[in-house]
Amino acid sequence: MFGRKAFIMGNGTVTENSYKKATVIGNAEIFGGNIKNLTNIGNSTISGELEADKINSIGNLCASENIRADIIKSVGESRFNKLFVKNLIVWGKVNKKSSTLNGEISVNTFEVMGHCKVKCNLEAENIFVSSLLCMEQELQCENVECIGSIEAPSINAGYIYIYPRATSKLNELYASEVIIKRTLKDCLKIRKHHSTWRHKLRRFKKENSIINIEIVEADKIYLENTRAKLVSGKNVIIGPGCIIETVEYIDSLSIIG
Amino acid sequence: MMDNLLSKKELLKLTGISYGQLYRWKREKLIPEEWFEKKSSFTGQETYFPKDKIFKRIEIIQKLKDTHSLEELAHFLSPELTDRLFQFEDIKKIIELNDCVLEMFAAGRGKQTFTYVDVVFMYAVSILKSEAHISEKVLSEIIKSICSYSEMIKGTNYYLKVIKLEIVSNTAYMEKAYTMVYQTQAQLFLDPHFKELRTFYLDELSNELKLKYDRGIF
Repeated sequence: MFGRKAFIMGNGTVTENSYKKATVIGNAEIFGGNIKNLTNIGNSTISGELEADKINSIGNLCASENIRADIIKSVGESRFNKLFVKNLIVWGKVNKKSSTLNGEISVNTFEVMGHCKVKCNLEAENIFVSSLLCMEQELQCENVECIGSIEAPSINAGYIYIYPRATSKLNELYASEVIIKRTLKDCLKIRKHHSTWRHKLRRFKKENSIINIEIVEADKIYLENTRAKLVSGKNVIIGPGCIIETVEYIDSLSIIG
Repeated sequence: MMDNLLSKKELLKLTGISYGQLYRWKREKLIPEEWFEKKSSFTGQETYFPKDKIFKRIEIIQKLKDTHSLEELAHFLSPELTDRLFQFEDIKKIIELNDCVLEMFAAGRGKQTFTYVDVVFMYAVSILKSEAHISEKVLSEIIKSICSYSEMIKGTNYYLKVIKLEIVSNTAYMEKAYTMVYQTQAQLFLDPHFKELRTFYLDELSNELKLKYDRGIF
């Protein structure tokens, strides 16, 4: 049952079935089913419910029904209906354009290794950004670690780590713990568990710029190179390079020059 | 107005909860985003909460969070914000919902499952049916109208206005009903041909239901 393979070069359809591997180079309509490994280079329309282990897409992927997958690697425009995926990786650029994500996406780990615009409801556990993530709505998740830039109206998360860059556009940060720090050494909680990070960290660009944020509210706060209007927290440490209008603290405040 | 509002700072101090907890509960839809009211204050911008609602909500969350998952609590406390579905058989147990209205909603929806917002709308229409004299035809129009948009409404901070249009001419009499749902407490001026039948505030109806059935269906 799982030995079946489909290969389409040009235009074609992939009928609803169980496949070990399905490859599309061109344009195809995929009628759903069960595909272990799906590769799309071009335009694929998925018009039925699909369960996959791995989906690799370069180009446009459009799904009108639910998709469940373990890993999805995508560059280009993806339009989902309802997507449940463990690991979603967006990388690279197609025709110098950002990748875009549309639809209702429920993901465990979302890695943004290329420019990505999220125009939809995103439910995520962990989000790693090494390139650029643009959100139209508030970014909500358990852990965010960004060594690139994030553009979002606000972030509401459990743990937030951001490398301070002027290119990030954030208004409000709400979390249990917020760390904005110019070193990666002891603040990336999750990095050890993801091998892709080691690759990205080797090409990491250091910068000495200031990140602008309006409001930072969390229980534990450590800030460097941050300009903010209001910082409110339980235990607050203001590190070097910060320009803060108002700091409110409940338990402790340290200012490190 | 400020008497029933509580600042975020005061809330954290009085309840002993942390920023992390407050924002996690907001993220998990246990505390509706609408309750976070931003107002300018002496120190700049401050967030305020409706005092009675927020205390009660935090009390319930703290009591139940060790025995229920946050998702379960969200379904229970803010069903209007989740996509929780209610079955026809369970809804029938709510005596405030008129059976005829319920049947018409099921027919208008084309299915036997309803969202929480559907239930609140059904309550409103049931009240309308018992208070005003409306024919079956007009009632079905009202329900069809509501069914066309109720799935898009994710919350109860809305007003439902039901209006009637009567056209009397020498040869015919026509009566049609229309509904509209809007958010702010704006005063709407209607063309004099329309007569307002009733305006409901969904949040009020929702609270009545939740209060009565908090141990049962919700």
